[in-house]
Amino acid sequence: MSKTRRIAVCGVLAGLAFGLSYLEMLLPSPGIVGAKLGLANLAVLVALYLFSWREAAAVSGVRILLSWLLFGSFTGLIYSLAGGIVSLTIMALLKKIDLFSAVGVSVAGGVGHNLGQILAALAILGTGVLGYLPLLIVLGAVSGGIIGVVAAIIIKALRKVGKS
Amino acid sequence: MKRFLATLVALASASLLLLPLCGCGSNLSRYEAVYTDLFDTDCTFTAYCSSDEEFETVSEAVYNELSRLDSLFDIYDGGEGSLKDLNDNKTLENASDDILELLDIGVLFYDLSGGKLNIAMGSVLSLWHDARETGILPDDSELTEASLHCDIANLEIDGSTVTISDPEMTIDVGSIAKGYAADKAAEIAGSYGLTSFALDLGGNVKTVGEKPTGKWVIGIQDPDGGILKTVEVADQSVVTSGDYERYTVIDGVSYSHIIDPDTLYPADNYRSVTVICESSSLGDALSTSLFCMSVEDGKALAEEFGVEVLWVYEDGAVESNA
Amino acid sequence: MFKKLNPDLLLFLAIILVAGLLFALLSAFQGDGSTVVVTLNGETYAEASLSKDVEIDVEGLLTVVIEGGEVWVTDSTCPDGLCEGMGSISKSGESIVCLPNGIVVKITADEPEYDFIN
Repeated sequence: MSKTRRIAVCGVLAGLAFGLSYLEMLLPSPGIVGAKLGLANLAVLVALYLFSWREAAAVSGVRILLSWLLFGSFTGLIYSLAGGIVSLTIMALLKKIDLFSAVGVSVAGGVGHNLGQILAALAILGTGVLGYLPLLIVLGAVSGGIIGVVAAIIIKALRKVGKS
Repeated sequence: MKRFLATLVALASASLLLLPLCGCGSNLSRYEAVYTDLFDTDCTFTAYCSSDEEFETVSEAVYNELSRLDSLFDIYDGGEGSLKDLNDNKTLENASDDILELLDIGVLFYDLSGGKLNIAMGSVLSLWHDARETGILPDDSELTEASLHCDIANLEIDGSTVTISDPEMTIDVGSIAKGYAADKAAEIAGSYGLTSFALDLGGNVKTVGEKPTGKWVIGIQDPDGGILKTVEVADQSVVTSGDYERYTVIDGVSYSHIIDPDTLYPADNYRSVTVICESSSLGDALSTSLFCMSVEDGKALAEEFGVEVLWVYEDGAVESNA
Repeated sequence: MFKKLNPDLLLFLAIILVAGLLFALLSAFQGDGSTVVVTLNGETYAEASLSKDVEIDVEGLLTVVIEGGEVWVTDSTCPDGLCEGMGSISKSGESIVCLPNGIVVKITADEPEYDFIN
């Protein structure tokens, strides 16, 4: 894949990521603090699998910055960044050791995202938020699993397209 | 790169257009005020507001409204124009709209409940009120004598003039006043633009809107400890009449404050009856009526109004019509 | 044997297990974060953690006892003694009221289990 094409695809993915996170804002909240499907992670996962962690980081970073500029507060930015960084680091490492499929990587990524947010919340709000940790881990694993299954399908399809 | 930017710009502008739809940035905190000097019970006003000032302003207005109604309906310490005034002088000219409206509700529910809710039996209720204060049971003869002066037909409402034509008869709106007051106070709170709040006037909960996290959760207590049943509502009132709300123990027997007009003694069919419906006035009137009725009659009455009812029996069993 | 197991599923189960262990650990070492709030005539008089055993004397009017995650009232000077008759409370949203003394003892939490108790 040429460099131009790669950048173009990354741009589309970043746009998608942003659109997806906006879509998620419009959906009714499931009523649990911090519980989100993490649709945007779809695009990040695809970038990670089609290219490398660098592209995935770019997609994730652009999405976070854009969301912040358009709707966010500064604390929101810190939460998103913490979640994004921890999530991507874990996913990149897991992908490297090549033990799990995209689904497993996404599960870990979902958990990592929530871990990162809790870490940020610990710094900002104090230890009171620790009680949420187990619930958020489970929710992260579940939503990560769902996203992972969808992402695996997309990645497979995109690879076919890329080859032809 | 150009296309990348173009995509981003297009997405961003599309999102900006949608922005007003999402109603984000609502940062509401939960506030609570407890008033212990109204309606002979503890009253709680809970609301989700954006600032301390907002809550304090509304809370004060709510308190003032409740306090105004409490004095109007007070038959022991009420001033001029109150129901005490009416009971003392047997007539009230230029009665306030609130008194007229409340008496109308009372008269209406006398018919609907087949006489189980009777605001004209102040004479009987005051004997039991004294009993709760002194710890001495009323004489049967006293009760029977008092019961002769409970004919609601002797309450005459003509325009804004209220007259009691039986000199021995008195009005007691204890069974419906809190429900009415909760509705009125909720109107006041709503007029300040609050959309998520609730009033609890001692077992008489009125909710408006939802909490930011979902419905309001109300537990129906087991008088012997714990919670028997959980009810989740929005824009509804949950009104409970229970024998544990107000009672006295005389010679080891517990006497509650809800008196059956037919036996002249505290009704003891249930530990509590809870009515779930929109109007708190309706809920209050119904819960008192149902407390003195059999479940069968109660279900028929509940169906007439399309309300949900929970009956709690002596052994903690819960029956519902839902 | 292990080859048959999907590694993704294993990872998922392991994470759930860890979360479960964490939950058990946290609930063992932490109270449920509930606070006991005592108000006197509408003003907050005292606040205390539900998970710490303590006795609060409210102006000599009555004593609030917090013990083993339960709260009750003793030594009330009120004439009716209804507050003592209410027994003990332990869930957020529950309260004990002593109207004659103008005292409300309530268990609160950020998101109480019960908004109101009838």
